[in-house]
Amino acid sequence: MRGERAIHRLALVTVGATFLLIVLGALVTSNEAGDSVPDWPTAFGRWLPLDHIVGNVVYEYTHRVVAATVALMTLALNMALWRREERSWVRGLGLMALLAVLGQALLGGARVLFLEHRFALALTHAFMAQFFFGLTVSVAVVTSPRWRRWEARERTAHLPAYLPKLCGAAVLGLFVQLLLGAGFRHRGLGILPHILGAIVVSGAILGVVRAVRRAVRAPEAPSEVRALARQALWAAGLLVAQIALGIAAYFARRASRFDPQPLEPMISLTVAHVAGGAALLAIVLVLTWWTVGLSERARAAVAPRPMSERAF
Amino acid sequence: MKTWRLSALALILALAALSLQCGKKEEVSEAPKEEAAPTTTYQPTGDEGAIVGVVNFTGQPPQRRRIQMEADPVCAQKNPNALSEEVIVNNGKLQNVFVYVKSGLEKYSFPVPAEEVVLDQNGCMYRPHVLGVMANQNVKIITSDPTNHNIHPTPKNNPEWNVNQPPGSDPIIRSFPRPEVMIPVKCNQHPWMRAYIGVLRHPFHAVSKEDGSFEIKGLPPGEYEIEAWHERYGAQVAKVTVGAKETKQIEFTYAAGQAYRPGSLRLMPALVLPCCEMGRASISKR
Repeated sequence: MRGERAIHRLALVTVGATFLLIVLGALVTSNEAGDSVPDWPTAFGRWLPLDHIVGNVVYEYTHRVVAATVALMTLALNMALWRREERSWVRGLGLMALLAVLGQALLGGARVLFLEHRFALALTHAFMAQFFFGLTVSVAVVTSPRWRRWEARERTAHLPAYLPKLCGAAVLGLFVQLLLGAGFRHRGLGILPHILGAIVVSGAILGVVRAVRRAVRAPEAPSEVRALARQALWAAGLLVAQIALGIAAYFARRASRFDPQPLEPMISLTVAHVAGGAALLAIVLVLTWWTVGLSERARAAVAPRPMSERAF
Repeated sequence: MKTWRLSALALILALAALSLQCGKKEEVSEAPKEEAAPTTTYQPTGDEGAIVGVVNFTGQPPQRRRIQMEADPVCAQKNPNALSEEVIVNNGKLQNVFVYVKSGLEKYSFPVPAEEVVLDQNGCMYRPHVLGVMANQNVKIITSDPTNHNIHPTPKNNPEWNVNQPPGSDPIIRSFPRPEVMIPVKCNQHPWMRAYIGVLRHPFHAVSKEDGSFEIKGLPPGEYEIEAWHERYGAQVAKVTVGAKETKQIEFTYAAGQAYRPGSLRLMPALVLPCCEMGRASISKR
């Protein structure tokens, strides 16, 4: 039991560190610091170029150091999962996260080294960041004591059959929306796809919120289902904040187009919008996991298997 | 179920919009006309003429902004009162306008000058801010600053590169093989540092000085399209005929409120409101 709690805590810390990494990545982009260190994996030919860390190099180098730390944390999480976790699909999730973070590191390096493919690589790098973040959030959810308790009770709740699908669609929509946002930020796409994406995603998230609130009203709803209401409320609140931040970031960016350098408030607003996108993805993903876990039909797919059935 | 279907439909629409955007041809900065391969290397005859002129600016120019160099104390100490160089207007004359022969020289080729064009990094600014070279002519990049810089041109038609230059290091000598107007150059370590290089297949170009004047000498007699390019106010074209040993005068006039920055307003190309669309400066010719 202590081992299980430790895994969950490690997963939570990894989620936090990954969120910080996304914020740092956004700072790199907003400060136009992406190419301030022309080489990779070393920086100016060294691992610790202390005398070079001035100007925009601060953002890029810190981003690299935190990225390496997150990769090590993901490795540690995987080692813990392989030692202590009985559910093979959870170990699989951890492995996917490890592969994603390694792939992400290579993408970051490619973004520095292959300038002619800058836009495609920056877009993929931005997308993979959120994908990896989603994986760490997923591991944190399914290793949580609450999830384990629910699994152990072998019960299901009466949730609308379409709710897990709608949640899944919202997550998918958020990923597409994050991609469109990255396209706009990296100046490869216009704003219109991102606005359309915002409308679609808002519709999906509001649909989820409405469905959850209906399910919660049922008198026989267990505490886990009632907890969904709080998460749905968070999702709705974050959605409103995110839309407001997006509008503010857009106009701040418009207003700053003749600035001689990236300045406030454009930097803070765009970084906050990126962070808000990641937070919204996290909360909708948590909702998705719980609606899948609680629903009768999807339950069988995530049921635990004994250690003897591990697929190595 | 209805919500689910609606969401799926909307998602498909968003993806369709994305694919349309991806399919849009990227707007390339003003580039010289595609020219047929020249047949003759031009030999000076003594009949060459010249174009002289001035770039005017009407209206209230935007105030030059103070550059915040505090992120690198070396820069802040060396150049404490640095101002933006995007729009420099002195007595109604616009500086840093790249003026060049856009067309009219297609039948000739010109030898690449042996001398290098120098781009200095001094006070964490590029000197000069705008420069012209011939394709394959060497650009010698030097640093006079006791801090690190990276030099990063972002061309559309030439290979992109990004090189670090520590203080006191040897000059970096590079060239651009293909004509391109203009190639932005920036230092990502100091994001206010920006220069523009015009790469041409001939040597006929000039950059407007503090008094807005420019001069293009040694032109073979003929009819030409002369383009003036400014990083914020865009391009203007004038047609001019230069006779034997003739000096023609032309003027370009830019107006405040016609701000336009080629290539960088891709921030919002998909949503251009009719009220806010910014046109290019009109042609002015004398």
